[in-house]
Amino acid sequence: MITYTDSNEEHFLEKLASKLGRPTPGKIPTRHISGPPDFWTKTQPSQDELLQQFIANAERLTVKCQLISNKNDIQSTIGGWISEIKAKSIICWDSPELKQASIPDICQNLGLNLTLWNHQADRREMIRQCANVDVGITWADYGVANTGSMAILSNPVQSRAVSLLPPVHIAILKRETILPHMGDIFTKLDYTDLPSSLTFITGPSRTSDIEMDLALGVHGPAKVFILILG
Amino acid sequence: MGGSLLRASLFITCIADNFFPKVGDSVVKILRKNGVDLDFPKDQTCCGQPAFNAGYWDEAKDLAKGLIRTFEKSEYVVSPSGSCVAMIKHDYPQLFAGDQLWESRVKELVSKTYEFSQFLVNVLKIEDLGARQQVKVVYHPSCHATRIMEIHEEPIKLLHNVKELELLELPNADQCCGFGGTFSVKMAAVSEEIVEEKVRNILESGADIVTGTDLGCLMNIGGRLEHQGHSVQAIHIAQLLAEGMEA
Amino acid sequence: MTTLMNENFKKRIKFALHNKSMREAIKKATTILKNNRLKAAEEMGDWDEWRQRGKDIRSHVIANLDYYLKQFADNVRAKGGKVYYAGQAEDVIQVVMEIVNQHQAKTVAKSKSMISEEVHLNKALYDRGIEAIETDLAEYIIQLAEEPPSHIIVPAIHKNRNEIADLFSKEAGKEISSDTPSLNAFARKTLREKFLTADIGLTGCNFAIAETGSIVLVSNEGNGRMVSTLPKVHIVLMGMERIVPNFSDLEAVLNLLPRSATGQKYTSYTSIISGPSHPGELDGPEEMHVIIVDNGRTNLLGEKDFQEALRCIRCGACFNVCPVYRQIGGHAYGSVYGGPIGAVITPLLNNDLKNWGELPYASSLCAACSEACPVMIPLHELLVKLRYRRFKAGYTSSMEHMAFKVFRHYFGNPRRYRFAMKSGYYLQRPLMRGNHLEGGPTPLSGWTNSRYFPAVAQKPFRQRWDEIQKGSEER
Repeated sequence: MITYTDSNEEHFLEKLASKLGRPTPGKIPTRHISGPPDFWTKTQPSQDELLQQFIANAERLTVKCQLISNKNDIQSTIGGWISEIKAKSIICWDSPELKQASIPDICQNLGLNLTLWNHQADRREMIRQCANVDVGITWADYGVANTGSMAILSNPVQSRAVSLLPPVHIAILKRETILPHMGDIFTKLDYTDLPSSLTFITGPSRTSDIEMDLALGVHGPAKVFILILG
Repeated sequence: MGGSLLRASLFITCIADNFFPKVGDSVVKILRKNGVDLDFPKDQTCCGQPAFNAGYWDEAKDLAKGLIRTFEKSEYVVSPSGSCVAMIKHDYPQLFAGDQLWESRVKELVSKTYEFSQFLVNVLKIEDLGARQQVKVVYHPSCHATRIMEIHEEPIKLLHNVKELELLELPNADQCCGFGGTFSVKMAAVSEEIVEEKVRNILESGADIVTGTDLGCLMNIGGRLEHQGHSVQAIHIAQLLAEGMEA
Repeated sequence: MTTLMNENFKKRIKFALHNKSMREAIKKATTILKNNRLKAAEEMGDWDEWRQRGKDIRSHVIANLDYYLKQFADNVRAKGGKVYYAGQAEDVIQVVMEIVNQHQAKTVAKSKSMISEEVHLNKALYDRGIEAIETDLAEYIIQLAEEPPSHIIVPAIHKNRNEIADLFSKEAGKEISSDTPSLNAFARKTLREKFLTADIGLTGCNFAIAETGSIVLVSNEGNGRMVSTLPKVHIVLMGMERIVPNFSDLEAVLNLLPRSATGQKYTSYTSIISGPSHPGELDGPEEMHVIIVDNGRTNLLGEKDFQEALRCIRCGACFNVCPVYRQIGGHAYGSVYGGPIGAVITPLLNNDLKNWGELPYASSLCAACSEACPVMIPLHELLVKLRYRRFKAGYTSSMEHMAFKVFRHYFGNPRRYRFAMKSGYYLQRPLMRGNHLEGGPTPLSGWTNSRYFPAVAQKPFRQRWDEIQKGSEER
């Protein structure tokens, strides 16, 4: 039985109110400013500029980006990356966007041992599999131009583990979903129905904990590739 | 300056008064040459910063009151210390917050008090003193001068205009020298390590002289340099400038 | 002024100053972090405007903390999470243990949490037979070393690679070489298994969004994501002041935190977690428990001066610029939080100026901390205010107070001041060597041991002024 639950909320908050010397406000406290400085949202870069910014920022973090305007080039690009990292196995979301881009087919064409993330399978088993493959491939819902980040929203199809456990992460991103700042993605969210996890991935997993010596892939992927459709 | 002489009072600070009186001579020389009608109110002692920083605010208040009274009639107050001026401009208002009797008097003093280099450059609009000194110099930006008084360009401008003076770069310049008033005796061992690092940076720069706006820091740095047998000298900017001017 | 420092603090400082490898490691790391921060701030336009935003947002939250906490808690519950309020350390441990017991858990995989350090959770779990595994590489290193963190962002900042290799080799039961790839590979392999098998994942909380009941985790290694994704149960330890009102405010503080901490635009992973997994999601936790922790924070609330310290977003920028931290490292402070922010909040969180009252003196008041702080906490001023408060509480030595009374007596009166300085000129003679002093009693000896102290001039400026005046009149 849990004892420290809602029952002591009132007591806890009353103590704060008394320290602050007033009763707890009944409605949302008014204020004049919120969010980033005004100048932050003033500039509106063009689609081209956003793309250039995104790629430059991501590549600074060792992320490889490739812009694809012809759907037929997807296979050769991914194939190039796969042979570069000598991957044999891959796990892929079973999502409509990836299917539309023929990603599962391409994986098979490339001779990879393909697993599709199946949210109806056994949890432990699926996670284990995810940890044992060479590459995880996902869709990215948005790009952030000024930081080279991609945003991924979780749902039953869009597993969190696929972008996390394999040593290499390949993401597919649509050019028009690259927005200037993180805040621009926030405004696209439905706050009444948020995903259980919204993750911004900015480069590979990294650490400098040993003598400030940068090392990639300590827990998450050491290599990240982004294929930009557009 | 023509006929309209600017009147200013000198707050020499207790350190300059007793340990580095030449700095006082230098300030007088420079300001007078530039048309300032200078006086020296004799009742001045110390701004009270040592007591304030150590947490003895009642003691600090007493000294502050003395200083406020001393300069009540002055048009401008000029002092060769960023730290003492920071005490007046930044900490006096805190010290007397809510004190109706003193708040306005503090405000008045705050509004007319200037650090020496700021007074020269920003009030008198003088950047070139016509000085000449063949020396290699590094400038130590004292913490209170830069971070609280925001003295950044003024001393540099003055130094740049000294003919034949070579201004070198000081590695890690923005790092504290470890003086910190009572800190230097209360945590003497740590203070020693900090000043030693400063000294090593100064030596690395290749300068003959380290200068700055604050005698507390210069006393600390100079004391360490001399103790360790180095020939680099720590000299206040006013003195360095004055020595390069014709008599 | 003879009892200048408490013996323990003095000893810890002395010990630290003798630890050459630690000091070298800290100097190197903090210099890099500081320079990275400056570079990262530069590209943001007017950085001070960002800092002002950070300050305004966080001040507003703290001033209305009860309202926003309630809003946050309601929203966590609405999303299927559970909320607990923990007044003190014991409460945190009790809640965690109840969750652990409910699931008959044996292992808890943890990502970095300073609250966990505050309440000494690892030891509490260990004492109750539960294995707690730190998964942040640095936290893992110091867990093996059985040491507390010495920096809030870079907990193993004081350790060099050889020390780390020794720890890993001992753990592995075989020689692990000290190059970075070998050390990382060992950590990845060892910890990967722990992630996959842990019953419970436990994280801290960098920010909490009141409007949506979301919690935000930033991490570079990805361990924060691992422990909030793989185990079936996710426990969040959250300092009660971690709140921001909404997503727009989150953007503002997220642009301040990593830039100030490591100079990164964003950390590799920024996760915004809103409740447990949704139906149909296979990974992610099935249960989410958020423990809101006070543990002394209310001591700062409603205190006009010190409430400002609750704005802190735990970026560690003040550590990286502090000349004192640079020399003594984190452990010398003896507290969970070191550095300038630690020197401020430790006496307050513990409501104990007697035992922790000396930390505020570990500063030259150079104000580098205040300048670096992304939410504009006037740290150096708060340190002085704590000194004042400590004196008022009667914990400073009577000798010290006497010294400042004497100071006032002589320096507070022009005539006595002149007399004192004149006396000083004569009294200093036994110590005079040339134009400086050597030796002398405490506290002067603290100075003269390592530096020359200037001698009092024979003719002070005020006397020279008279001569200057006379001279100019004669002319």
